[in-house]
Amino acid sequence: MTDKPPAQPGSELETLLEWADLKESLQTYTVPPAPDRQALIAQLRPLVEARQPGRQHSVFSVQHWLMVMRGQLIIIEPSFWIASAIVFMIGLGVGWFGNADTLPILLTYLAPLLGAAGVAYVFRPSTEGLRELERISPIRPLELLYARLLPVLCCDGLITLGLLLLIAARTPDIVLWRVLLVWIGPMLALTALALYSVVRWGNIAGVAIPIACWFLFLFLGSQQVLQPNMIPFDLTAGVRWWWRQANGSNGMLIGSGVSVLMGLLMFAEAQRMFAQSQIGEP
Amino acid sequence: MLVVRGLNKTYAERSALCDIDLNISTEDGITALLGANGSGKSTLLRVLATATPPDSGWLSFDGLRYAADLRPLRQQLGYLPQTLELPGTLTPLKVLQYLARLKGIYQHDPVIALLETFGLSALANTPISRLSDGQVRMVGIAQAFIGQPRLILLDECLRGLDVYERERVIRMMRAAAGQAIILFSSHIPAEVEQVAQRAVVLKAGAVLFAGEISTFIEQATEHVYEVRSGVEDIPYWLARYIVSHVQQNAKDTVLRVISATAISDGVAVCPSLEDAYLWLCS
Repeated sequence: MTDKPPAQPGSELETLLEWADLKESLQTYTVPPAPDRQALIAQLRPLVEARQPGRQHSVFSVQHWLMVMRGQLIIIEPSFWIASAIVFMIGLGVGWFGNADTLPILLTYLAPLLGAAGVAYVFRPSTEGLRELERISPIRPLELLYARLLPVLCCDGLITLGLLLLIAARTPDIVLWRVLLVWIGPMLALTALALYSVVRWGNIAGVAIPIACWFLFLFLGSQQVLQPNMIPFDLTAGVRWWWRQANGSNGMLIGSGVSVLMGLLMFAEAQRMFAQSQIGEP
Repeated sequence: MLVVRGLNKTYAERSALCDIDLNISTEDGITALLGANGSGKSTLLRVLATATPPDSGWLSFDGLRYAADLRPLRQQLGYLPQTLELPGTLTPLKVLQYLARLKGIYQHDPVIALLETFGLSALANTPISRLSDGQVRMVGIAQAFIGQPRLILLDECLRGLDVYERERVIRMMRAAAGQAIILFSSHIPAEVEQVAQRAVVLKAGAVLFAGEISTFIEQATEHVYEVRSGVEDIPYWLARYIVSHVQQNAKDTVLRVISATAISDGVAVCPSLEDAYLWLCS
């Protein structure tokens, strides 16, 4: 799309756009004295304000993001928050009443998947119908993407953090900051993988691919660290090893850092594809 | 004023819009976009709604250029897409609230007023999945009026509505005309004649006519004839002429025949929009 009108006979274009009338008005226009100008501005102000259908904030302001996120909260149904609360309550129950290993097992195997499932949920096919209308809204595609992701990721992050704190409270020898840092990597990578898969292949892929990747990773990791004679597979031993490593191994921290980088790259690629999909070519 | 110059759009090497020039002002009242299926009506509306970019051309609305002022332009825009699949689990209230928030409108009252205007108050909290197609269409039309937009683009807005719903929509369109440019598409001339004062007629992606409907109809004067014939002669007329209407009476059959030359057996009659459309588009 060009920024200038295509070349046309000047007089024809002027007539079409009523430029000639405007030019004449401007040539004969005399600037009114200051008090009249003030009165004119006062008269015009309500009209100008009435033309603004909604409040607008700079995209760099916190208010803008809170407003956009507030809009997105409408399409996240109560069932999502209820399901998240139930997951948290189950975690609390297991941590409180189960044995010392049960909650770490649960968290290790399921927590990163919460993020992936949350992403697949907010980009579920039933919200596709709104895409055409979102496309023509004043909010840019990437702003929408972030505003939709953030509440879900915050919710999942808080659940995981709460359960990690519970584990830390019940297991005094855990170095919480190390475990947290090790946790961020897989969480971010799987969430980014879910977003990438949803945008590229759709909702089912957005759930299936991160789940498959995570369990494959856990299985292969366990095969490496457990003794060959530990057959059948000892879940508890594997998880204990994992927590021990998270608590003290620098290798785990580096691995988590690599996962963070991979996650960020996948996020960037998913954003690019999402923005492209919002351009509107059928 | 909506100004379009040299607009072109191609889909998969097929020209959907070809060198479109248009001027539509708020004072024009309601403007209809008339054309056969596949003539480019929806594509033109999608381009004007900023849902898809043109390949080339210059577009502006009230001094806002499509190429440069997308955000403020979208703030002024209301658009009903041809197909609208709203999330079945959301309610009309939530859909309108969500789309209002995308436009920066966070007050509850405008949304409630819109539901009232479109006769959706009683259904405000009913999931979309439980509404009829016509009711969902009404929700779609209602969202196009959120924030009192000044450019309202409605793609086949009267399709699938019952008599009462049509009346409501037409009343709302008439109420908004004068403050906003209202451009709606239809392939039914009778529908256009009832609602619009001006028409843009598209054929194979090009503008065939743009102006007052009465002017368009005048072009078919002396080309429409009423012919009385026996039932056995109907195939003769259908094979040689464009027949816009066939009325079977007790004694004979009355045909409205469109012809470039005078028909000796027929009586010249005042053309309708449908006659004019068939005459000019054939």
